[in-house]
Parts: sequence; structure tokens; C-alpha cells
Amino acid sequence: MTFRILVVDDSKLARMAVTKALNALYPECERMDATNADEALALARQTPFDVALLDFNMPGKSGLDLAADLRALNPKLALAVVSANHQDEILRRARELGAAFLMKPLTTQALAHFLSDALAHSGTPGR
Amino acid sequence: MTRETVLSELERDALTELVNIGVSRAAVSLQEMVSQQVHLAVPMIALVSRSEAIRLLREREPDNLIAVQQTFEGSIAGRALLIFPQTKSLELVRAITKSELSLEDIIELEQEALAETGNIILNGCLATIANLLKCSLRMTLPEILHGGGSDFFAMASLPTSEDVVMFLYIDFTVREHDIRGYICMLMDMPSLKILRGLIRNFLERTTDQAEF
Amino acid sequence: MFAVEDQLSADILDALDTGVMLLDGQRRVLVWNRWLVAASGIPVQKALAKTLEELFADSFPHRLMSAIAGVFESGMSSFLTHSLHPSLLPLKTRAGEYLIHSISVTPLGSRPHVRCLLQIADLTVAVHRERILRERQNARYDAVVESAPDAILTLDSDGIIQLVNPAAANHFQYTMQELIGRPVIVLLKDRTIWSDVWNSVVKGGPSRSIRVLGQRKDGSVTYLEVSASRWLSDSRVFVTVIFHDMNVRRAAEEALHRLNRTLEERVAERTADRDRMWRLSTDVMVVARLDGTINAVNPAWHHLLGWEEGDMVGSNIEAFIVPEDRPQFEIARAALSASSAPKLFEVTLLTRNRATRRIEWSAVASDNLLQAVGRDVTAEREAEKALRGAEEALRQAQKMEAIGQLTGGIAHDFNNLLTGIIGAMDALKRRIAVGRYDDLARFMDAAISSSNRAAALTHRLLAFARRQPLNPQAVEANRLVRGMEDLLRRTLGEQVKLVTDLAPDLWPAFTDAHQLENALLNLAINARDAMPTGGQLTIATRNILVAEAEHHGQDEIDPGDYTVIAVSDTGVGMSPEVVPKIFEPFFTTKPIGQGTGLGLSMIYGFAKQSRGHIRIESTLGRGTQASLYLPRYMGPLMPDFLLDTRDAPLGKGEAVLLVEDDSSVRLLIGEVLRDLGYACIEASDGQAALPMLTSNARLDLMITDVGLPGMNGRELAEIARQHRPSLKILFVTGYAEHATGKHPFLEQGMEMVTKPFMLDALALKIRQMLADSR
Repeated sequence: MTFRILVVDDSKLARMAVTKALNALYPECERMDATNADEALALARQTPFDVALLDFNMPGKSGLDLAADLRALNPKLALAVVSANHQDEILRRARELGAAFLMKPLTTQALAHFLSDALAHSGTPGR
Repeated sequence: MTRETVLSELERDALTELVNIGVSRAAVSLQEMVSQQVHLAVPMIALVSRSEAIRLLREREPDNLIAVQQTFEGSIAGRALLIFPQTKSLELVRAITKSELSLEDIIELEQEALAETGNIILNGCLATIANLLKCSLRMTLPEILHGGGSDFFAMASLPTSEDVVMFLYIDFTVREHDIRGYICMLMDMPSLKILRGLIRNFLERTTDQAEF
Repeated sequence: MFAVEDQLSADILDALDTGVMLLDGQRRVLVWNRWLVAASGIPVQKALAKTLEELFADSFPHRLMSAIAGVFESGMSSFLTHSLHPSLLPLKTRAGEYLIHSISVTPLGSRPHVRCLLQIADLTVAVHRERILRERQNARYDAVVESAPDAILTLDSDGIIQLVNPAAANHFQYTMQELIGRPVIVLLKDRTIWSDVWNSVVKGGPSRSIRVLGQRKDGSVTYLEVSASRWLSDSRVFVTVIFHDMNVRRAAEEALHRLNRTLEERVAERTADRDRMWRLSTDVMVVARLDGTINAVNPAWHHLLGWEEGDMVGSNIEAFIVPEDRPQFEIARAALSASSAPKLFEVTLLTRNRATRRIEWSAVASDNLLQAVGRDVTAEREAEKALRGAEEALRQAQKMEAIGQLTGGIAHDFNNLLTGIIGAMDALKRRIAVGRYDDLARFMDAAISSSNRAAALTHRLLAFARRQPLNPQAVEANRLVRGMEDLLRRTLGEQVKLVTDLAPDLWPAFTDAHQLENALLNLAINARDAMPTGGQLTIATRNILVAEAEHHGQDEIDPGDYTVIAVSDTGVGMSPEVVPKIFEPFFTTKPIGQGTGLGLSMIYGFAKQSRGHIRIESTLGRGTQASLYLPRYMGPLMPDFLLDTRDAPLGKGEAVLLVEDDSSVRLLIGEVLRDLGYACIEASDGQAALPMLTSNARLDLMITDVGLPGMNGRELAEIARQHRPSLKILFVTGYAEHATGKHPFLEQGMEMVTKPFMLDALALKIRQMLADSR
């Protein structure tokens, strides 16, 4: 099963953790990293992604604002905002953008659950 | 080993991420208390000497500072401080409490309200570090300090040489108030070494076992 | 305290004046001290081994559970303060009030046997004390600051607003909440001035008031005066800033400034306005020196009078005024020079083509200059004159109407008289023809008597119809009434009985005899008309002394001596509503066609002109009495004998020139003069009379007809006086308009007699005139 996933986080640790989890879950998927919203948007304009994992708390544009931009680029994109800050307001905005909310620190189970949901829903990836 | 090389870039990144997770949790606690969206972020972390920390504060801030301090002990030992300019502390309290309170009310509430607010933030940071790094810590109750950087960092009973101050900026946003302060963790070199070991273990875990 | 083995420890815990609770790893109560029992009302036995949820349900904050979790999971200590939590645990004081408290949550022991210690501090008393102190302070503070009209803000040392009063929120159009937490500089437009103030004050420097430009929420600018002072609280610096609203004063200053700036402009504008007015006005305007020398005139002079500016400037204004008005102008000029009050006067100006215009002036003198604006009132005055003429004509017409009224009554009498004269003459002629001379004198006496009566009658009619100004003189009213009796009887007719009731010692009245006759005649006619079925008319005379001013309606009778002539009838009378109106012109009680209504108003005018009064009393159905109050004549009376002498005075050979175009009259008068002893020279017209007048021959008197062919009597008199300045001249006239007692052309030594005249009267007049020259 192959799909294209964009991981956006200013923390290298966080990106590494996601990489590890993805290697375990979907070794064949195509993964690209970005450290901020601008990089992420540049990548997204070049390459269409199936899934995006966005850190909420980043310098510059927040993960929620980035989610909105990416959604505008690709309405079918499966989105998740990752944060330890699970305040109601953030959850609500994520929901409005059709993005899942994943708690930090991100666990493999939580990621697996989100990805299987997202992939089954869109039915996109599959080789 | 110089202070700058005590922690690798990745280790510092990991520590920053841990503190961010910590303050994010603190933000959730505060949000529950004030029924307003609270945003807390720690954009950068620096490891500096005690004297450098004092200089940094003096350069950036006026002499009148206020700090919430909690000491920690266990696997690592030291002090955690949340520092604001005194004027910002009033704003912080005003942001946390109801904004229509009078100045006198706020001044009166300031000490206790600041103690609890700092307590939540510092607990958030240290608890996250302790839990994720799987180390055992004990933290005392918060106390309020007034003065400048030298006052805060000099009163430690720890040996002055080779002390390291983990210096973090913290952005605090609530009710349209945007307040910038500092989180400082003051520890001695043995504690820092132990911390480094804990971080490395953590990195191994999160990269090898993919638990992160 | 079951769980505490050591009794001493247990006792100490119970004795503590603070709440102590210990939870085990399962978060169940291990220790519950006596303080807690009292505050929570939960006995120890009930509390032990229970969790907080079980003891308090959910009535404590989530934060407390997090704090307890922090102890067991991460070894964190927590502090919960009453200031951030409206309520912590449901605890009560002994008085039953909510117990204000804070909670410390700390781990006890080390892992894995960690326990959680909760300490609860009672802050109720401290908080209440603080609150009372604060309220007291606030009350004082509020009194000053909350009601202050100035905007008062307290800033922290960063310039962030910490406190505002309502006036500040009002002035800057924010809510108080919006302002708190904002930097004060959002309220300021010119921040450089402010930063100087701020830097000085925040360092404890002196504060002085300074003007700054503020800005409101909507961006509008506001002028403020700011004063600031620093104060310390717990070593914390605050600055209290007072903004005083300067907008009103600023606006006033601005207005003043603008006024000054535009003053010159406005002066120029006003000058231009004035120039325009000067140029365009249809009124004539002049600026002259106080002596009348003209400095400037406006173009209206040219348009109205034809004068050019060049004709006038430098000349005296008097030169443009008709000579007869110059004295009047002099008076006005003198008055203007003496005071700054404006004057109104009217003079006639000469136009360039020698016509005149009547100008009404409004003039004022200032700065030694006479400034005058004149309005052309020529047309107005002409209209007024025409109106006056019309009024005069109307009065005359009314008089003629009265004559018309008389005519009916008089014509019969006159016919009788003529019949008597003609009959007598006829009888004389026949007797002379047959040579019967025995009783000629009887017929001649009858003819003369009838002729005299006819002459008297026409005289009265003529006098009545005459236009003449009021000529007040001493008048004996009784004699006048008696003289009118015949006329009145004839006028009143047979159904009205005339009664006179004349006071014997009546004062002479000072009035015009002819007008008085006229008035009495009119009153009599009115009375007659009020008695259509007949009645009695009474004319009474009385002396009346008015001691104090008497009021009759709107009219006032001044104090003084009056000769009163009252005319009463027994006619229909008038209602009280009508009486006050009867003097109004054109008011009449008569049916249309019978009278113009001017009668009583003319009598009223006559009475007023005589400085007398008329008073009407009337009762409906009973009759009316009109009383004429005429002022008493206080001077000497002419002796009666002069008027009453019946003997024709004889001349002593004085030379009399008689100029008369009617040969029969000339013959008659000449005969009479010679009979009376004068030397008479006759001339048929002025030309014939001149040689005599220019000669050196003796001449004592000239008797001339006024209405001569060619040179009239008046012109002849002028020439005669040029040669003989003291020549007595007696005019004879048959025209009513000439027959006036005091005619303007009658100079010293001139008299006039009216045709027809009695020869005796003529002789008397001549005798008097010649006697005066002696």
C-alpha cells in the first residue's frame, strides 16, 4: 500500500518519531518532511499528497492555518493536526477544516488508527 | 565538554519539544481555569552559564522582575523559574483573572495568582520531562521572588561554577494579551549530564521502538 | 485520626489551625484532621478511606484532581489559590460563611509509596480585612477619580494602562475594559512630546502640564493638557496621568486666531461691501466736514439731481439747498456738531436744472465728519400735499352741502325780501310817475329794510362759504347767537322751536367768529334732523371754570376758564355705543344721501384748533346736548361805540381817489363821499388812476375795487405804495375769497370792505382809517 504523506514539524525529534512509526506501519509510503508552513506549501504545490500530519505549534504560521491552506490546494487531502494542546478551540477549528486531532506525544497506535481511517475513507492509495 | 556541546543539536531539539509539549499541557490547564483560549509556546532554548543568563536578562529586561520558582530533586536537581518583567506580571494576572478587576484587586491577587499560574506552567514542563524521560522528580511548592536576574540565580545554594542555565523563551497569549517571559532551569553539571543521558535514552526509544 | 499510629502526631495534627488531609496511592483519605471536620462538617469516621469525589461529589475544581494526579504521576507540588478559583472545597467557617482558602498539594514520601498531602489555609479573615480596607480606599478613590471630569489613567512602568476612570473611557470613546491593558500611546497622536513627558516622569522627574494631541478610538483628534505623576506600590512604579480636555478652550483660541488672521481680509471685504453700497445706492450719500464742505458724494447725486462729483466736492453743501431751507439745515448741522446722536431732517435740494427735490436726511457726525444719507421723498410729499388738498376740498364740499341744506329754508325768505324790495320800488316808481310824493319815505324805508335783511343774509351765506383760516379773536358769543337767531329759525323750520338761554355776564371767547357760526349752524342742522317730528332746540351760554382736567371718553378738558355754548335738542338721541364714534370722519347717523358725516368731525377740529373742546351728552329717546368749550378771552375788548355808531362821520376835505370800473357803483360811492365832505377823484381803472398817484397832489386815501380790468386793485396798490408809501388804501370787493378780515396782501394801512355795504359802514371805515393816520 503506497501513498504520499507530508510531515510538518519544527522539531526534528517529532519528525523522526513520525518516521519511525511510519516505517513500522507503511514502509512503502512516500514521505516528505517540512519544518514550517512555507516549506510545506511549496512542496504541496509541487507534489500532490494524500495525507498530511501538521504540528500545531510552529514558529510562523500555525498548523491550523497551514491546514486551511493545504485544504484549499487539495480538498481530498487527509489532514491531522498534532499537538499536546488539546483545548476546545483548537479541536473545534481542526474539525471545521476536516482535520483529525492527534495528541502529542504521538503514539504509533494513534497514527495507525488515523491512517487506516484516512486511507479507507479516500480509497486513494493502493497499489 | 563545553556548555554548548553538552547537548547535541538533536538533544536540544528534543528538549525543546518536550518543554513545548509541557507548556501545551499547561495551556490546557489554564484554559480550563480561565475559560479562554490560552496559547503557550517555547520557540527556542539556549544553554548558558549562570552569568550569561544574568547578562541576557539584564540586556533584555528592566531590573524589576518577578519570578515563580520551584525547586526539583530526584534523578536531576535544580530550580525552575518562570520570569516576567514586573509590569508584565500584572498583565499576566489580569489576563488570567477577570479583566474588569480593579488595579488594587489585581495587585492584591498578583502574588497568589502568579504563584499558581507559574506552578501550572512549570509543573507542565517538568512533569512532561519527567514522564517522557522516565525519571523520578519531586517538586516543591511555588514561591514568588522579586528582583533581577542576579538575585534569582545567585541565591542558589548550588556550587556556582559549572552551573548551567537552560534558558527558554515563553510566549503567553490570552485574552488579546501577548506576554513574553522566560523559563529558566538552573542545574548543576552532574544534573545536566544525567539529563543528557535521559534524553539520549529517550531518543533511542522514540527512533528504535517508534513509540513517539 | 485512626490512621496515625503516633498519638502525639495525631494530637498535633488535630491541634493545627489549618486543614490537613493525606491521601494514599488510591487517593483515599488517610488523615482528616479536626480542622477539616469543623470546616467540612464531615466527621473523621465518614471521611476515612473515601476519595474526594466520594466526599464532595463534583463540587471542587478539576484542577485539584490534576494537582493530585501530578503528585502521584510526576511528583509535582501544586498550589491552588482562592484568587484564581471562585470556589475550591465546600468549606464553611464557624459562622456558616464560605471559608476562603488556598490548597497546597505536595507529595509525601518517595516512589513507589508516595502519598499526597493537602494543606488547606484559612484566608477568610485576611481576605475580608483586605476587602474592607480596599472598599474604604475605593470609596475615597471613587469620590475623587470616578466622578472627575478629567480623564485619569494609571499606567504601569511600561506605559500600559492599568486603571481608567469613566471620564477617560468617555473621552476616548473606549469602554473601560478596552482601555485596560493597552499602551497609553494608542491615545496619543504626537508621541514625541509624550515620550519626553513620560521619560521624565517615570524616572521621578518633575511633572508639568503640557499640551498634547490625543486621538480617540475613531481616530478623531482631541486637544489635551496632560499632567503626570509617579507613585510606588511595593517597589512597583505606577504613573497616574490626568488628561484635561482642552477642546473648548482650544476652539476658542482657534476662533480668535482665525478671527485675527481673517480680520484684514474681512476689513477689505467690508470696505468693498461699503463701496458697492456707496456706488449702487439710490439714496444720495454725502461725507462733509462739520462746516458743510463736501468731501465725497456718491453717484446717486448724479442720477437723482444731476450734479457731478466735480461740481460738489469742495463746495459747501448749503449751496445745494434751496435758500428757504438753509436755516433749517443750519440748525441740523449745529445739532450734529454738538452730539454724536443721529439726526433726521428734511430739506429741499436744488437739481442741476434748477428744479427741486425734497430729501429726507439721516445724518450723523463722527470723527469730525458729517455723514448723511438722503432719501428722495418728493413724490411722497407731493402725494401728501395732494391728499391734504383733497381733504380741504372735501371739507369745502361739506360746507357747500350745509349751504345746500340751508338754501331750501332761505330761498323762501329771500323771495319774500325781494318781493318786498321789488314791490316797494314798484310802488315808488308808480307814485313818482303820477307825482304823488306824500308817503314815498314809507316805501323807501320798506325797500331799504328788506334790502338790508337780504344783504345780511347773503353776507352770512358768503361768510359761511368762504375759505379762510382760523382767525381767533375776542368773540361775544351771546351777540353772535342773537345775530344768528333769524338764520337759525329759518333753517330749523316751523316745527322746531328755538329757545336761547344766554348767560348775562358771559366771558368773551377767544375763537374764530365765522367758524363758530359755522359750527353752531351745523349743530343746529344736526339737531333739526334729530327731531323729524319737531321739538325744541335750545342754545345756552355759560361761564364754566374747569379746576382739574376733566375726561370725557378719550378726550381731556384742560383746566381753565371756558365760555360754553350748548346746543340741545329734544330729538331721538344716541346710544352710548354711538356717542364715542360721532367725531370720526364720515361717521353719520343720517340715512345715506342726507349728509357726509364730516360735520361733527369738523366741529371737533375747530374746537381743538381753538384750544377748546366739544362734549356730547345724549340719551336715546331723550335728546342730545353738544357743548362747545371755548377758551375765555382774557384781553381788552374794543369799545362798543366804535362799532355801534349810527351817525355817518363827516370828512374834512380829505382827498380820496376812487377806482371803480362799475360806473353806477363809482357814481354812487363818489356821491356819498362828496356828501360826507371828502374831495373825490374818480378813475375807471388802474391806468387812469396812475397819473394821480404819481403826481404830487394831495391824496389821503385810495378806495379801489379789487377786481379791476387790466391791472387789478392789488397791483395798483403796490404801485401806489411805491410812490406814496403811507397812502391809506381801502379795497372793495364783491368776491367771497377776497372778503377776509386779514388777507396776506393787506399791509399796514390797508383795509377791505365787502359788497354790498351800508353807506354808513363805509363812511365809518373811511373815518377810522383817516383818523388812524393822525
